Amino acid sequence: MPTIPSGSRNAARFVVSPSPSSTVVIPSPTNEPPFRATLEVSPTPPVDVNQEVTFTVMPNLPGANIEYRFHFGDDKMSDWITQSQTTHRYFQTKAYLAYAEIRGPEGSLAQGTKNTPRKEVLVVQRSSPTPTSTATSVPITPSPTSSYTPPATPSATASVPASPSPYSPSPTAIVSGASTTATPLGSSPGVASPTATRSPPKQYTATPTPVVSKGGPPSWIYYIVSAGLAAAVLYGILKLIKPTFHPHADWHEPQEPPQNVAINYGLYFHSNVSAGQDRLQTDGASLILRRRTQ
Amino acid sequence: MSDSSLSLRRLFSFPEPGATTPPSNEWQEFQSRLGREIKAIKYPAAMPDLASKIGELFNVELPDLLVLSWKKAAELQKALEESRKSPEQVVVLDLAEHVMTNEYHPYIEIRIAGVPLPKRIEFTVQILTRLKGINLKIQDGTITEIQAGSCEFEGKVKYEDLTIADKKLAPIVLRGVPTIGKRESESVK
Repeated sequence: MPTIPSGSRNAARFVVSPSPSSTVVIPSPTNEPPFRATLEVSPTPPVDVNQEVTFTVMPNLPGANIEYRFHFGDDKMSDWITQSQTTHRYFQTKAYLAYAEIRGPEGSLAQGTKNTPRKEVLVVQRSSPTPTSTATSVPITPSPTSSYTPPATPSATASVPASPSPYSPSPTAIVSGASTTATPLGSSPGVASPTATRSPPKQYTATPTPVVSKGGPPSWIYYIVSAGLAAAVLYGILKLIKPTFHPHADWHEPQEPPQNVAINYGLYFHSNVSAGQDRLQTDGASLILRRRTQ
Repeated sequence: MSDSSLSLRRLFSFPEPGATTPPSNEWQEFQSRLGREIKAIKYPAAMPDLASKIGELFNVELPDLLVLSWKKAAELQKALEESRKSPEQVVVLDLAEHVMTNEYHPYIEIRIAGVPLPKRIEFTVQILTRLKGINLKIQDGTITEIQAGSCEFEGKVKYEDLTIADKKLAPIVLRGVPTIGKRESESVK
C-alpha cells in the first residue's frame, strides 16, 4: 500500500510508472514505491445532461492535510477540499476533460500540487431521437367521369439531429505509458487531444412499421387509423356519386347508346311557311281574268 | 288525315304514323344519316321515334300554301280590299293560268336538358305548281275556297345535300277546297 512519507521534504523523487493506464506519480521518498492517483468518474461516461456525476480520486490517499481541487472541464472547479470525492452536473452535451489537483502538506509533495490525468466526461442527451413522421394522403377528387385514384399511401420521414450520439462516442483521450511523465496538463505528450467529430445530419426514410416508443400510443396505430379513415372516405364518396361505368375499349368508335333509357328531350316543329319565298308567274297576263258575284 | 288531304306529307309520300308499307329508299337513307348524326353529337340515347316525327313537319296543306302566295299578289290584294267593303257579298275570281314557285325551310329543334345548343334539323322544300282554271271564292277580304281548277305539282325536299323526296305529280283536280280563311271563320261561328 503506498504511503505518503512525511518529514522528508528534500528527499522526494518521482518515479515514472510504465503502466499504460493514466497515472500521476506522487513523489515518494527514496526506496518507497511510487504513488499513483487517478480520477474516477461515476457513472461511467457518457452521462446525461444535468445528471449528477461523482468524481473520486483513487486511491484514497492516506494521511491528514491532503486536499483536492477538482476541475470539471467546463471552466468550473471546486474549492480545495479534504474529501477525495465530489459531485458536479453538466448542462451541455459536450466532451469535458476533468482532472483533480492534489496537494499535500508542505514537503509531502515535492513540487507543490500535482494533477491527476485528465478524464474525459462525455455528456449527452439521453432522449433518443424520435422520428417525426408525417403521413401525407393524396386527396381523392370525385369526378362524374369514371376515374379511379389510388388510395393514399402514407409516407414517413425521420430526421436525426446532429448531436453526438451515445452510440458513436467521440474519441477519448488515451495516455500512452511509454513516455508518460508527471507534467501538468496541456503539455503532456502522452495525452492525446481528443477531437470531437460530428457527423453531418443524416436523413432517414422510415417505412410505417411498428416503432416502440416511450410513452404514448405506438405510432403504427396512427398509420392504421389514418388508412382506415381514408378508406372510409373513399367508400363514402363512391357510394355518394354512384358512378356508372361503360367500359369501351375503342375510344374512336361512337359509343352505342344504352337501350331502354328514357331521356328527356323535346322536338319543336317550325314549318316556317310564312318565311317562305314565293314567285308567281303569269306570262305577262293579268292574274284575274274575271270577277263574278254570287 | 282524310283521303282528300293534300298535305305535303302525302304529296311527298312521307311515311304515315304506324304505316306498314316500307319507306322509300331516300327516306331510309335519311333515317340512317340522321341516326349517325345523333350519335356523332353524343346524344345520350337513341330516338327511335324521331324519323316518324319529322313527317309531322310536312303536315301542311298545299292549298293553304297557295292561298298565302296568292294573297301576296297585288291584284288579289286589291280585290280582297274591295270585298271587305261589302262583307256580305261573295265574289268569285277567275284566275289566269300561272306558275307558282315556293321555297320553304322548315326545321325541327331537338332540345335536351343539359345540352346547351339545340340540334336543328333543317330541310329545304322547293315546290313548283302550275295552276290552271282556278276559281277563287272570296268574301269579306278573305279567300274562302278554291272553287275549281287543277294543279300540276313538282316538289323536292332536301336535307343538307341529301335529297329526301323528289316528286312530280299528275294534275290534281281542285274542287270545292276550303282554305284557311274559311276554316277560321267557321271555327269562330
